[in-house]
Amino acid sequence: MKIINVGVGELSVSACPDVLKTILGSCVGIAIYSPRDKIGGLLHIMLPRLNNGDMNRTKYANSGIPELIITLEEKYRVNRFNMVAKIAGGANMFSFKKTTSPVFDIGTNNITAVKYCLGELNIPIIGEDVGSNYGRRIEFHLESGNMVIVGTDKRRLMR
Amino acid sequence: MTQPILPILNEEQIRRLDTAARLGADKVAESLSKWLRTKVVSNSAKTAIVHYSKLLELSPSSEDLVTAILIRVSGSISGYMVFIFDEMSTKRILTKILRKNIDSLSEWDNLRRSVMEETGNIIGASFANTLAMNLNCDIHPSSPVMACDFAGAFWDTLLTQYAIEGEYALSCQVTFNSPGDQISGTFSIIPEDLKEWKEL
Repeated sequence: MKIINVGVGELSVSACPDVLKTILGSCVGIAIYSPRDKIGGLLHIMLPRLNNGDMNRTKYANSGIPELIITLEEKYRVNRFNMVAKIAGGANMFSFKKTTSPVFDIGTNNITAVKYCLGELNIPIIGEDVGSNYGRRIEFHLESGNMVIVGTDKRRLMR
Repeated sequence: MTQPILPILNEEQIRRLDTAARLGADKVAESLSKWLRTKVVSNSAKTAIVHYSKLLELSPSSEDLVTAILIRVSGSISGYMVFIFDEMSTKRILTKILRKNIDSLSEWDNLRRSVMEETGNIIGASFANTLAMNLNCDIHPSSPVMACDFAGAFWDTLLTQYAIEGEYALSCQVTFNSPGDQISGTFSIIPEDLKEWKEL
């Protein structure tokens, strides 16, 4: 079993029994998985929409999610109709007033963009742990499809 | 790791910032010494243009529990100042100011939060004033906000700022140490718009 760290604005795809992990603040982690094939990927997006001219497509929800799906389809031969998603992150960690810091509302905007994009692509979201004001360390287990979410205060399991 | 990659700021501008940051770090150490009633020294100050992803390498291990104090700055330059204290240093600061033993950071009441925000206020104002004086510009710090969480989660949030602006960031890293009490912290400046710094 390999434990694969997924960096900020990156994606990684692997198969059972590997574990994909990352740490999230306002970014959102999107795990897309085929329970039938036990193959899945984890995407760590930073922002809702692709900026013009930016070549790093995995930084953004609207370009990274299609990229993850295409990678699963083309490289791993996973049928899109077998794919399900779990999402986590999108915290607003600093409670600045909105008028002084619009950038720190980015967590909420990221969640909205991720849900919209998965909806458009007909990938059902079967679990989510999003929002609030705390960071999350997530581990996505490709053997079970479970997502383990660890906060500084508690640990929980998303089946 | 921290070599200049793009001509956003020239060598002379980086050198001026470096000097101002060193002086600011000394002033912060002086203010911290008074606030904590213990000797605090600034160990290093290094200014560089880095790829935003490299900033993660400058902080403690991403799974470590840390306290981050964030201060928004406006004026001639806009952005954020971030102070990060590791778990042990946070406990020592709280213990020193509250004069009672703090052995867990699981609960954050208003008093503890106020102590850390006031710590940020004191060091933020010291650094901003020194930087403004030496760069001949206006810098206005706002009230600080703090949070205690994984180091990686803070950087994940802060890096989105860079992702909006582009791929590169100005990093100003200062480390503080109090040899007897082992209080150590890291300080970074996160500019909102690097072009403003070019005008200094």
